[in-house]
Amino acid sequence: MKRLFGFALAAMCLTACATGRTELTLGLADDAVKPGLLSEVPARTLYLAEVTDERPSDKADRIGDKRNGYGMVMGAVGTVEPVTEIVADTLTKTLEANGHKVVAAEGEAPLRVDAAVKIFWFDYKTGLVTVEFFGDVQVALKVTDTATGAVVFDDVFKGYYSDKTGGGLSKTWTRVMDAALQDLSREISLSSDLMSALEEGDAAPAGAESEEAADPVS
Amino acid sequence: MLLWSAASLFCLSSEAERQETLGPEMIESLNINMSPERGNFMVVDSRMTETGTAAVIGGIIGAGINSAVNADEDKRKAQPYESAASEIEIASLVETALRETLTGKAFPVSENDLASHVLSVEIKDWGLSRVSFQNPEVSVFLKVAVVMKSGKTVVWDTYLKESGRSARFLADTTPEQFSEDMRALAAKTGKRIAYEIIYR
Repeated sequence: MKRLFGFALAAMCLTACATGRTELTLGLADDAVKPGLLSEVPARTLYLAEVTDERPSDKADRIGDKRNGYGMVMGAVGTVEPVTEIVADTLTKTLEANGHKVVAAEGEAPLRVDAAVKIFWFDYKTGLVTVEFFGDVQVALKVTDTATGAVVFDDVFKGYYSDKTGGGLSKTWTRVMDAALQDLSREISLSSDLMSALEEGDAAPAGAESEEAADPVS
Repeated sequence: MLLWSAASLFCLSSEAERQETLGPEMIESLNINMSPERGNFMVVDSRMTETGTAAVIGGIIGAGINSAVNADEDKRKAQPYESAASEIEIASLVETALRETLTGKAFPVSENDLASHVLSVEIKDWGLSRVSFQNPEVSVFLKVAVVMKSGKTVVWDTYLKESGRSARFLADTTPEQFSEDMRALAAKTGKRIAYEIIYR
């Protein structure tokens, strides 16, 4: 009886072991970003304003929950860098990969980009023998013509990734969220609406050095 | 059994070894082979909130029963949308957007089986999925298997997972809204595949 009780206790402890906070180092790898439709626009100079955090207040202190076997939240998943910085880096790399120039001073750019993080969430679904992990990053992007104050683009982009495996720890969680960031980057790169906005925006072309990169890939 | 249940949660994952990203491959002509299969329409809601509680109480049998119960609940939740889903030619919508985007960019699409590259696209799972464990809203989703071969060499082998942007409670999701969102996502997925090929 004691052995049975001990076995059950050990099993219960094991299924409830997801405690504490794990900080993930996330970011878009340099080789993960590719040019897309935005590269067909003549190179623009854009000022990327400070990215704001507009996630729901009950989820703003973390990017995911660690749940035990009973579904109870026992810990949290966070990020080493603030999510706003991760998104700013993703946006900068994406725009630059498409041949555009991102500057830190507003006065230097005819276009201003405002970005707000709406969702930055890691989750998972446990099946009988598998676990499906989900990464969801949603960012509102607004582009304003600084000369006229006209908003030339305003939409929300969604980066999403899911992966079904036998299970996984922080390495897998990082891979899933990085893939969601990569998907966000591709969604932005491949946006025909954003391409049109950049094309039609009353913007002076960026320096000649970036025009070469603006040639379409295919 | 209990230990197995716990281990299934956090055992190490095996890294995918597939050619998930299409590199700067020279594509002279592309033959598109769209599988006519409709894939699996489903609602994923109850299964999203599955936990190991049943496994702790009833071992593998308990876990199996719990999974079956959740799957049945999801089947029941899918019923109001089945008629709308049956009218969605999901593969056709993906293929049309894919072909139109490629030809719109003057990409060399070929109907010839002897094209330099062959792209195979197959619809897998699609329907409505709960946004997260905590958020009971649902959004449309679509999973598509994409394989490109040059001769016998696989140059691209990926599993695209697209998810709709708008989310609402299942009770507030009408079959018409589902149909509209699903069609839009299918077209977007076809475009996305095309752009991944064009901007490889």
